[in-house]
Amino acid sequence: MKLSFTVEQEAFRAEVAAWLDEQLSGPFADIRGITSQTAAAQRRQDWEKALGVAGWCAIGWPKQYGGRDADLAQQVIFAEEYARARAPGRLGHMGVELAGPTILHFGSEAQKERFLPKMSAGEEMWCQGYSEPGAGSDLSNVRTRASLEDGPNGKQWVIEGQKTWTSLAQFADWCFVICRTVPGTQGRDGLSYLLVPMDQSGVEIRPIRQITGEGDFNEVFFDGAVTAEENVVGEPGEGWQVAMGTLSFERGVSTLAQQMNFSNELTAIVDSANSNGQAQNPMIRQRIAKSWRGLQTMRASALRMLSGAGTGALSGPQYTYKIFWATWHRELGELAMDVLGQAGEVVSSDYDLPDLPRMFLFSRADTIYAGTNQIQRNLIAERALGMPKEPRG
Amino acid sequence: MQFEFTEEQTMISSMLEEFSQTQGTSERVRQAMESELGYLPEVWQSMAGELGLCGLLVPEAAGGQGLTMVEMALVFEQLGKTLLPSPMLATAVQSVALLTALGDQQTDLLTTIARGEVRTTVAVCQNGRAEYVLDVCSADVLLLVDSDRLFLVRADQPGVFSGLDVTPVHIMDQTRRMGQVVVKDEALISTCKIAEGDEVLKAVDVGLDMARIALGAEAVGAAQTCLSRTVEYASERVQFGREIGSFQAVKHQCADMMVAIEAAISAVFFAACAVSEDLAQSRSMAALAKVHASETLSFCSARMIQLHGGIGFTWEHDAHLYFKRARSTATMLGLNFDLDEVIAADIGLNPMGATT
Repeated sequence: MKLSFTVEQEAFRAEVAAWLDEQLSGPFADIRGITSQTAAAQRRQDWEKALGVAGWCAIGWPKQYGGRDADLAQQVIFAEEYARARAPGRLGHMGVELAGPTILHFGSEAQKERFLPKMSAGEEMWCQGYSEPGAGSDLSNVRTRASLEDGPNGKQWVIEGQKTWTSLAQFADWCFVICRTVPGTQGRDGLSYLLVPMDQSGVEIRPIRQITGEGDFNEVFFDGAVTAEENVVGEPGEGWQVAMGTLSFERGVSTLAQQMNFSNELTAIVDSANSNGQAQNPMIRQRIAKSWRGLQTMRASALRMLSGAGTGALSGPQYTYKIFWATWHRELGELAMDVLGQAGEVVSSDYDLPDLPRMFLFSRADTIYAGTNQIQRNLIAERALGMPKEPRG
Repeated sequence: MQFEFTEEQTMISSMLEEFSQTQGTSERVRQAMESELGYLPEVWQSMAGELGLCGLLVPEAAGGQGLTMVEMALVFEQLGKTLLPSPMLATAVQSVALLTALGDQQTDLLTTIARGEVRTTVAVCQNGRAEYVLDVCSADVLLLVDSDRLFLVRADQPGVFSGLDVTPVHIMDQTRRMGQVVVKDEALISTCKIAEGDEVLKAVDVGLDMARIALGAEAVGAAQTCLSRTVEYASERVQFGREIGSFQAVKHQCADMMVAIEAAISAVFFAACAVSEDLAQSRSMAALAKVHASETLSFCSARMIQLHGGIGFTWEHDAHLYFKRARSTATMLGLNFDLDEVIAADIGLNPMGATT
């Protein structure tokens, strides 16, 4: 067990830092520090391509698909330097962190060759078609269905239904969609994991205006949308297992980058407290110290989780990490507002929010998406602790 | 950078687990806590003798094993699981860390500690007295700190020191022993001075940091037992025709315990690594380990009582032992609130009283 980095790893850190600083003080200076998911989308798409050309888009992937075969330490370093450089939020993360690892693990060789190089080049953006109006926590209750029909270029899947809470759909080229392909099935049986192109007449996207006034999430309507027969990951009808695999990748290294952003937020809170005098309030000092403890703890948990990632059964932090960070971050938002005081509630005439107040509002979603706190507690109790199951209707 | 236990570390942990579970049954722990000494001499003999736990942190040059706080934290996690009482924390962690930090000066004493021949403790005095000194009543050697001076006082017999008044202080947590130390013959004590100046202050801090991490590890071990026993009970106890553990009102509370425990495990071993590798902010890391684990044990032991219902309120059930251990953990080696202030001052907040 060791936290320190080797000389070679520190050299890698210097290389990463130098490249990021050069780009973000030069050609991409205009998008440095952007934390909003939706702002400056075109420029952030250019940024993805620049990362791709330099080989920084998906460093943990195998070299043959455009990665660097980076080990855990290198991925930790990259995430740290990325956040330290205040590089913009990744428009490509649904592909690189979720769709990509899923295809790497469950996909055919042809699918890997078709999709992975485009993702690691920053050329194709992705979104996730999971939740539906009637399938939130109860995800296996999806109603979107697809059937295999004859098309102009052979057999194709024809998709009907509605997805919701789809982040970044408006910028995505592809969507991974869970839908029912075996008529008459229920629950986890009969689902398939389809890869669907977004640029077609059968797909309609409507943004959902959320608590911050922005539209990070969308409704996506499939009305006769099509995708080729081969664009199914895993066997048709056995998509549930693939879908759950994708969720497990959500506990991957991207969490390290997220943590570094949290660290930047905490630093901004400390700076605000120092400048507005709240740093002299003992209760605020205690809360800031507590928040720092949580952040360090989270970092340690992420390293435990990732170090043990290859060992099969889920370890403790793999079960508990989501609820911990989400709850911690929500409290960070509350702390930020208490430090800022009334000045924190001031918005512009078009309801444009400063970073910390936006985080305060957005963090209410943290304990809902990717498994609500309530669902996390069920999973922890029933799977990790083996407690008796809740009777189901 | 690898945040996984080595094979050797895993072996130490399983060895201690077996020892702690065998020696630390409820009956034996109660026998120890009701005894005058506060622990079972034969248990201490095994720990200090055949298991060689007192030499874990002692440098190899002084006859120890030269291991790190990571291994020591693994030991304390297992000892904490059963609350097995012993003078380990004062002797093998706080004293050894303090003495080792002084350099080569006290090699002989470190060697006798590593051999398990002496029990030592640290008393930090103010105006010639120290309250709540851990395990002082059974100590053979007392490291007495007064501002930046360090005195090494040897006992005439365990707990009896010429020039000092040592009085037992009985506390709510009967699995620990505390005593009060009053200097009554200053001239005599001053002949025992072994070091003075900044090096003493630094060494005392190192001893405190290491002890805080061990205390955190112990608390996180104890919290794991609170959870496992509560889950076991909730999975057996039937009310309204169902195991109570099938109700979300119960299982969600158990899930929250696990979330807190996993975080505390991370915090403790992160801190253990940080001090072993002498990383930046290791003082704050040690404070973090203690406070986080202490809060976790307070939370889990309180839930243990609540979820056991009436039985959890009885003297017969062990829940109160964990609840009381949580209390002494919260106040020992620095109050949690004070340690959070140590952190606050270290992470960029302006000092209290500073003008902006």
